[in-house]
Amino acid sequence: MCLSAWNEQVAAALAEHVLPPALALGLDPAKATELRIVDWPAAPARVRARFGRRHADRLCDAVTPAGEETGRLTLQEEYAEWRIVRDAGGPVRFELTTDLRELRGEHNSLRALLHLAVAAAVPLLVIDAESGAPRFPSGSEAIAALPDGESAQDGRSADPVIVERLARLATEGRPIRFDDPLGVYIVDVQGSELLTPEGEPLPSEWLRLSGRASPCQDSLPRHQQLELEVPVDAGFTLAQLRSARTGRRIEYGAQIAELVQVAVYLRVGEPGQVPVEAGRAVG
Amino acid sequence: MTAESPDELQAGIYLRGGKLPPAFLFAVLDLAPDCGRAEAADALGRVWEMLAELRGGVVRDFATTRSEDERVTIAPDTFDALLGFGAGFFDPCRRLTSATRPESLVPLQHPRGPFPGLPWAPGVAPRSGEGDLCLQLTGRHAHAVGRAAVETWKLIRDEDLPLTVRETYDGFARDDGRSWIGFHDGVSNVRPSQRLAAVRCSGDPEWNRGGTYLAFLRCAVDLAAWRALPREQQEALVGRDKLSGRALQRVDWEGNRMIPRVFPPCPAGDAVPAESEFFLDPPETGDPVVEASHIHRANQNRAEPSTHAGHRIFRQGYEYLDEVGPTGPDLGLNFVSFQRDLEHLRQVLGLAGWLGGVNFGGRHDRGPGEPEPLELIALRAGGFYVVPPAGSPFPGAGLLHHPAAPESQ
Repeated sequence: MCLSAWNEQVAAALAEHVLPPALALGLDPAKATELRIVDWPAAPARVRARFGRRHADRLCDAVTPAGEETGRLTLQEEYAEWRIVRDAGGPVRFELTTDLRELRGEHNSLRALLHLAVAAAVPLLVIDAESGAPRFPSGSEAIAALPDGESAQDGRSADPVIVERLARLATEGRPIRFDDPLGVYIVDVQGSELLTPEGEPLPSEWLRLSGRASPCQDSLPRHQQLELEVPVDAGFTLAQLRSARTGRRIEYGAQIAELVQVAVYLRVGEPGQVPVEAGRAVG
Repeated sequence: MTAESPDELQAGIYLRGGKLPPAFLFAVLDLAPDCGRAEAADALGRVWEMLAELRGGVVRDFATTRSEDERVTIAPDTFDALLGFGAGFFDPCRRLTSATRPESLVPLQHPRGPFPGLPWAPGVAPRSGEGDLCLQLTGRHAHAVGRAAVETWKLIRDEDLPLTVRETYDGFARDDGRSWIGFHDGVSNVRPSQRLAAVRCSGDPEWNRGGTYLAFLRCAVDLAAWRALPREQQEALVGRDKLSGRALQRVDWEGNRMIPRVFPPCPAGDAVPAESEFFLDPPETGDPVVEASHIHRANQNRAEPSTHAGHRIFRQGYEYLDEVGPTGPDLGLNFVSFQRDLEHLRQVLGLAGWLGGVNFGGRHDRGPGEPEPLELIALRAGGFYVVPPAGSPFPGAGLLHHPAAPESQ
């Protein structure tokens, strides 16, 4: 999809939503300039919690005999999707994307992200059960208070932390906007947690990052694609790498995805600029 | 067993807030290489039974042996004991358990530093702080926790148990709420109402449901290097005012001279910051110098513990002082954290935008006048442990009687 078509799609998606005062995507950018980074790991937390880590990682890589990537479509749900290329010896190549134009999972669409943001950017306070004092809500509490139960899924890495942050910023009375260009970006890859058969950390040059803006504009990481493949002359493949986190050989994409940190960039204004009387309070 | 109750957790994890028991001793133990399951279970059962008696005021060495003896007891409830299992316990070659090793329970890397910003101190041997088992002893005074460790040694020797106390690390809680670098410590910790959510495991592996994980890192502090920094640079690295403990809101500049500014004062206004939101959990500021400070790097998403990507951990550390000698004091922090998944600590200490990018605080792309990201901390010992729920005859007893589990789980 070309950039102009993408921009038209974004504009159409925005036009569908009635924006609360806080999340004013059409506001003067000069009124919201402070950077806020909301980041999370790309491996699916909810799926791992439900199925157990090892089983979940296997399911996330599931491909039908007909070649349909069912794992990717249904379980890779952190606004990042990957595929593993295998040969008879196991994984040989890992590819991950956060480009919303390329994501195919039902929970990973631009529409889903905007819907979540619009629903979440409303002031909210919770009465702490122990102290009795008001406090900002947790991600679970903020999701539970959303008027539309479909906007966000609790237990994921992405949704709760995004919702929680937006609710907090809105409660502070700040104007909020997504940074331009809107996207989900790869902000860190802990490649040194992957070890060669000799026990050495993965050479960083084996991780290839690319994306919308390369070189990165305004010094913020804006990569949206990650590729990892061991050079042929190394004498081993991806399947012989080991995760320092678990001690296990690399078998599944989620073992690498958990080392990939993805983020959205927000820009906010000063606190108190947006009235917070139209909010929610739960006890 | 499935209800989320703090009573499932072993003693020694102080969720309720308030002052910690002042004395700390961390014992690292190994089972004999040829020790079988039954022997291991018997040994741990005896140790736990002895510790329970000791906690009740009974010292075995003071048992009456003569008709004229009067019963001698000591003050009860002077310490808590917590038992953890290290990665070595789950080595399949040892055949001590058929239980699934928790995925994240692995030995710390050595000689390479286990985390990007935290190196090992020179001369630290592999497996320092990392054993088959650990005993965390916390109590009213050094004698109480020391006695528990010594009584454990006596029992092992007297009954020829297949167990060795390989090393111990002691520590203490200061009465002023500060650390050796002079700043308030433990302020930005998980609030008491949220601690259970931060530490309690919900499964995977199922046998640890209701338990937790312990991370132990004995962090040596280069106090001489720290004291060479002017106060304002120290404050920029920490993120708080040195004397009041108030969180920094921003940094003003007069030329290249940095002037830290704090948030408006807390109404309680005490020598120790009151538990208000701004002290426990300072808001984001938008000031890049403040955002690069230690307290902000440690909690980038400002999320509640139940939010996965918040990576919140509950810290329960103790200071230590080994000696004061001609080259200066050898001191630091026994960093102890409890978390429902060790992944969270790995993320906090591994991500470049969090604490993985620096040793303590600051930023590498700093401007004139900003503090250099100082190499303040080096590890003297460390290890990860799984802490099963409280149980009888000892926590984790089921591990030594665990049936073989399916490989997929």
